Amino acid sequence: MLGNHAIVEGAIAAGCKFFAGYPITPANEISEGMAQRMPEVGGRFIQMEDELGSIFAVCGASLAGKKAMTATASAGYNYMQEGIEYAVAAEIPIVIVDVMRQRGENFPTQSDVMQARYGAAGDHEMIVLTPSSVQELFDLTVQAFNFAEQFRNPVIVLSEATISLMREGIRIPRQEELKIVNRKKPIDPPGEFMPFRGEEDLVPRMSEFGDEYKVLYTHNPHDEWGRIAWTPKLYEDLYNRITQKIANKADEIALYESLFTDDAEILLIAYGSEARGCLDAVTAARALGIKAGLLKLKNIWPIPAKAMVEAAHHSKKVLVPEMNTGRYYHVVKEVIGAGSEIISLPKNQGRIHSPDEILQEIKRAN
Amino acid sequence: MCSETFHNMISMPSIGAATLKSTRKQPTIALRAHYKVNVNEKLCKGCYLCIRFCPVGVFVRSSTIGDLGYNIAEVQFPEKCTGCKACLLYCPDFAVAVEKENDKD
Amino acid sequence: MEHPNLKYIRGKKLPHMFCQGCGCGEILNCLLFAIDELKLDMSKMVAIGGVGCSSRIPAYLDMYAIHGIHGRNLAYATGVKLAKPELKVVVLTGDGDCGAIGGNHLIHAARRNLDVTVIMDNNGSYAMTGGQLAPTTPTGLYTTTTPRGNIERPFDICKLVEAAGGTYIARWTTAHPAALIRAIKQGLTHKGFAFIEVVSQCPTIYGRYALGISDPVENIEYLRKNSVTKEQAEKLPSEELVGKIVIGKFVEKQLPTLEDAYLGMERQVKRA
Repeated sequence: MLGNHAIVEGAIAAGCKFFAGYPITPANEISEGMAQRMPEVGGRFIQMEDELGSIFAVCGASLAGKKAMTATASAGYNYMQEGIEYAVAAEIPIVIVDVMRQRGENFPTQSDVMQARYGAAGDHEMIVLTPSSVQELFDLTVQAFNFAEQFRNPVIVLSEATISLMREGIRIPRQEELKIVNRKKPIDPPGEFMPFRGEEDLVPRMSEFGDEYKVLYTHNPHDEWGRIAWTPKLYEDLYNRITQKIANKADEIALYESLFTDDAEILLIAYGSEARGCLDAVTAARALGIKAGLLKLKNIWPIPAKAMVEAAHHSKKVLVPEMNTGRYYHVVKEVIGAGSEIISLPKNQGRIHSPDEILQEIKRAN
Repeated sequence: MCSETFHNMISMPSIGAATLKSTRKQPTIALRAHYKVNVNEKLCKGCYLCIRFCPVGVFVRSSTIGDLGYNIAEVQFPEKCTGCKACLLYCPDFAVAVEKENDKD
Repeated sequence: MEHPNLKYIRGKKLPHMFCQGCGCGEILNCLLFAIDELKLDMSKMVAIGGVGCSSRIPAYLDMYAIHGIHGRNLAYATGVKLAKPELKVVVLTGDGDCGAIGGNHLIHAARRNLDVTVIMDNNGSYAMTGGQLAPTTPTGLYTTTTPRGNIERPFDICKLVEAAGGTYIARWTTAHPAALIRAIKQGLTHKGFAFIEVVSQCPTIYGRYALGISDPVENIEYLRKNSVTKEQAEKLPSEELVGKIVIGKFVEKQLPTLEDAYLGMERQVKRA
């Protein structure tokens, strides 16, 4: 199955019933797949006039009660920041697929790792998932919807031109096997229900258009009733809650796979398509007797700090191969700290590091 | 009300005064409705659109300063009110209220 | 004793933030009269506003409301209508919010004949931010970003929407509230893209700086004096129409809406 089609099937399996998009390579197959599939599953598809229209139509549909998604590439993702910021501030659950590609060209890249997190106002948390295979595109799209519904926040699936346009065999689980999370509905009657009061998990219950709650949604500072309010403390409390609801659960959200990390002296931390080459390289290194290990990150934000620190426990050196100018390297450096030497391996040529290249680097670091 | 009864009297076939009296309501002279008009000084912003558009001059500018700091409009001649509700249509601040006082017909 | 529309204000939260004599207050009032006369169920309605003075109107309506991002009202509305077509959506917007930054969404929503009612408050400038040039500011007038007078031509947004495919288009002013209420009622019951432009007084910004009139009553008189009906305008030579506001109902036709098109397509999918 094509990577982009796996995203479509993952969304449908998660219960997505609305998709709005705008043509952009390499995300076109997602729009096309959705155009085909949405009417078949009782959902709605629309091609909007631009990315801004797409992201806001998705916000509107989510507020009306449907699970909603949009898909774009790096340049289109630039446009959508307003909508993402609005969704963060008004706590709207939506999923955005960003198929990363070079500026102007369709070269593979991992350029958006920072934009995915900081592109909107930046002064909040984001959940960003980084699949590295077609199977993971399916699985992580389902997971993205679950996170969006659980945390009432936009979730980004950071795919890449490489993975989205490759074909691999995947297994689509039966619907009963999947764990699907839905937003919490209100239980208090109208007049008592506070639409922006966080519960124990700091996430408020969510009503939908057409029921009797008549909520005002705004990204202006608002109180727990949704009324626009200007008191300074209120604004701070609101944003602290919006940030903490995800930051507090960073370790629960963390999705990763580790290979040989128990005693790794040279650790590779990679995400997305880069992790594929690292897998071979680490296996080859072990065969040569080098104690290499791999931490494959399936979500890069919120930072899976605990996982990174644990994996680097024995490591003298940590290599971070990336298809950009070396962005996530800074995050790794900050998290792991002085315990190990962090080495950035940027490669911005539209190709992932080959397993040989990584093996060379491992040997050099050894 | 008067004219309606009169019209019916004309259109009824002439049967005789006695029948007329027994089948028709006694014509009454309707009392002109009176209205209570009020300007809420908590809401009035003194734009005076009510003064401009009231056809009979119920409102006047007042020297009273309302809660919002404006010289509000005031009701001076409520007895002139015809219940046309132009003030309710024009007031941008929901500050005017008009209510019928008596309902005799 | 209270104004009859007070019961429709969210939380009865008044006084509202609009200025003394603001047209937005009148539009809010007329909208509520229309809703009251039509006996609409406000729990099945959604009001969407962007950014700007008139876009704050939804915050005062006792119904579900989105106070959204500048210019994206119709994008939200598209999502809401497609997700829950049974909801009645009314969009409150301004000349800048709708005609400048939101222009693209406006023409596409009109093209799609999306079943929404758009009430655009045309007050001639970006009042909330201090009075900058708007796409409907007449040539020659002062705004803070055209201190030597506006050199651009303004839009006729009603004509724009007509060309894009809107199926109910009308223009009234806040000096004609009875006609405006009628038009809003027609717009709310119209099946398809209903666009009502309301030329509205802004005594604080446009009136004061562009027209040189700061009194609310004089501002509304200005609107009244400079309005000509569509029928009168047809008889006047074009020189006399300069600076005049042509009011009336321009377009009213029934065409399949976006929802009709979707239903048609979905029926075909079910049959397949």
